[in-house]
Amino acid sequence: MFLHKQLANGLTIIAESWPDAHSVALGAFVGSGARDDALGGSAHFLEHLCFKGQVGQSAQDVNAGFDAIGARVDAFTTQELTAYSAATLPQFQTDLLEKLTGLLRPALRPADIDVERLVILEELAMYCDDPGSVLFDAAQASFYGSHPLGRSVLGTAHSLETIDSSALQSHLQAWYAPNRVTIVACGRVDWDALVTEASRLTSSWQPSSVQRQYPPLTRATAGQRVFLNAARAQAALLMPGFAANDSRCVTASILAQIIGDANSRLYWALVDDGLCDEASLEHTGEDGTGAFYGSVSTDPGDLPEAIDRYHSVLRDVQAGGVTATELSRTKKKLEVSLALRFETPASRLLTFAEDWLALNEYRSVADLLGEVRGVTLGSVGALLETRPFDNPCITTLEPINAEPIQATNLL
Amino acid sequence: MNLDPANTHTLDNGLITLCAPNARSAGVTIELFIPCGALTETIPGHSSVLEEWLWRGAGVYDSRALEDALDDLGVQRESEVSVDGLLLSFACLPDDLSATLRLAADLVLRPRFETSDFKAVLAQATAALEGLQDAPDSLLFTALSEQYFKSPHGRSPFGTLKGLAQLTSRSVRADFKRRCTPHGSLIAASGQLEVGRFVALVEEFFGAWRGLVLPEPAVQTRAGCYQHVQFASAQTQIGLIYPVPALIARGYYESRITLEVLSGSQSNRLFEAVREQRGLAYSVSASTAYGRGFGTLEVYAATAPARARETLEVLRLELMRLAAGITADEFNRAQIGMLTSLALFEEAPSARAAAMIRDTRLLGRVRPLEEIRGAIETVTLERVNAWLAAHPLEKPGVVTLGSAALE
Repeated sequence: MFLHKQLANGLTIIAESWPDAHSVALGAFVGSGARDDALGGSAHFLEHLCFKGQVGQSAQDVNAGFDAIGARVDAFTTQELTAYSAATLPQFQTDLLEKLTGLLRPALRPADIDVERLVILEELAMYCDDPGSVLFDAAQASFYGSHPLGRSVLGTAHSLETIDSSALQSHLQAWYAPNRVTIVACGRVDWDALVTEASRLTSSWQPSSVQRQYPPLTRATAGQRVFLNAARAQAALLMPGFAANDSRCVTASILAQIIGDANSRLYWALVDDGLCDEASLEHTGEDGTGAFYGSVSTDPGDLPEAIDRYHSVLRDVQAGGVTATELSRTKKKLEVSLALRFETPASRLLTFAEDWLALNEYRSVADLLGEVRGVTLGSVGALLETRPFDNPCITTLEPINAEPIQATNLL
Repeated sequence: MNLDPANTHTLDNGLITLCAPNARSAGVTIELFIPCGALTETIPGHSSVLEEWLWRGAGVYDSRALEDALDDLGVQRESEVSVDGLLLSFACLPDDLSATLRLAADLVLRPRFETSDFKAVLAQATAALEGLQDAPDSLLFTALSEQYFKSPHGRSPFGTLKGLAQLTSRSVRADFKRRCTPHGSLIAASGQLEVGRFVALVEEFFGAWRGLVLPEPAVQTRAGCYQHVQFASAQTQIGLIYPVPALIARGYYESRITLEVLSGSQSNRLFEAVREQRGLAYSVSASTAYGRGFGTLEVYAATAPARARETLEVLRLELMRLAAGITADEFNRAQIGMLTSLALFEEAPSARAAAMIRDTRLLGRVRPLEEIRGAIETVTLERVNAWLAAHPLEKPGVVTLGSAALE
């Protein structure tokens, strides 16, 4: 059962009640992410600082408080949102809510900021040693250019140096205002207590008038070559997709699966004969835009051929469409996945919250199933008529000593 | 959740079936463990190639038809090869249990192993091995295991380039015949299913499986020493390895509480000392691994080369400091955390199948969840501190991986 309430201060509370569940999962979802950063990396930096404690509270106090109710908080920042969530036993619902809302009002002490800056610089260094992450950031930067979606969630070593207490305080006041926050609950929820306690705990929170900016979006068709100390060569192919609230978003996801999931067009064209160890395609719908993300991994000497074959698969699908068998098989896989993947409140929480934040409306599992079942060869064909695969923006990651690439269609 | 000792049956051919019915589940999770991991291979890489080749056609299905047949049922599947063995995992709707088991049996009993696919299979296994070079943390753990175990328990399931170069389609087929045996294999299912029917289906589809008992080498370890792996990277990876009690051996639950204090809880000591107080690392953690008759505690951090020495020193001191005991607050938080995790685990039927396999493989039986809960509830602070005082965590094996060795 879906439950919804908006408080006078603008805070939204939603719940999916499972009376038979043995646990409750709660989340505080902040409707802002890296794309809303004034300084590169500030949304993510603030997420780290939220665990340092409110005024009069240490980081150790925060962590010990969650331990006392057996909860481990999962927190992350994406381009779109910042999330703090945990699951526990139903009798600890109010304690968990108090601790999660407490996270969103950190003291932002300069000494804590200085130590955490070192931690985030190490996080950056960790991703520098991961070729897949380096490629992803470079591909986003190429594709989106100066648009905020082209920036790294973590920021850069330079931008991190410029983030201080006042910058974080500004971000907090603007984006962690109650009208930008949604409390999400799933499982054995005590709804009345949830609403009453959320009202009490956020009674002093002041709304903000900040709005997300939507600067003009131009997506590049030329990528870049990145060189790294890597054993395998990789390429990312980014193409325009559909926004999360676009009715074609589900069709785009199914099309991407037909082309680039397991047992897909790409698998049989690139992976089956051993040319590539991975070749995939996914679609992601964001706020106001979306993209198809293709990736391929191969031996450095085989990268041009891998990209050629990838192009060929995209061209074939765009020209000839998909078959009824491919579509029905992929729909079946998704239907089974939807039936199986939400076995606990914690496993359901994120999808429930993300759908609400992206669409501002509730999507039950039955709704999600209905959307999948509603995709037809006609809707896939109509989507392909927009010619999404004409000009992929290709970014490559190659070993430092790689030979020059001869492929004419690259860059 | 069925709290009885999992419904266990042994087929005439030695295959053990384990079953945990749960009416609340919307599907069925099946885990099939076969003891053909790196531990028992004669050429490094055999196991990795086997796993890759297995999926390329079985019974009446060629490679593509097999994938199509699984997709027509919407079966989710994956496989993983480890030092211990090969684990094949399937998830399906309850109505498709029989068809899914039939396909799983085709894979194991009737793999096609087409020679025409071998070159591509070898290329995939080689790519997986080379890909380790792009994952410095995985490389570190591989080096740590190789250093600690004198016996084959430290082998990498990815094999070696030299080993892969020696493999032929014939040698891999022969290896499969020798090591893919029902003796030591386990098939576990959890979710919406009925025990009698599951056992009957396993009998029907796997009853003809034949093979010999595969001896496993005894575990042998080395005394802790220091080793550096030269590697061009932004961070230095640091790993420490210590022996801990085997699964439910004397001191096991005391060591589990210790791990919770050290790294499991949100307020854990490693996070506090390395990250919160000093900002030395983003990733810092400890984890345990268990085999037959042994357990290991592996401690990990990654940091800038200039701060690697200090980080290693902080890690070693935190482990040594445990000999002085943990506090009552730490103990209470650890106990609550473990009991809550157990309750959440109980709610996730899909995780039960893999846990049943681990218990049966290492203990010869499945621990009822009530037994685990009781053991956590009855362990005391005094017992934990007595164990820590008697078993100080010192003299670890240490591996660093990065641009410069630590002096």
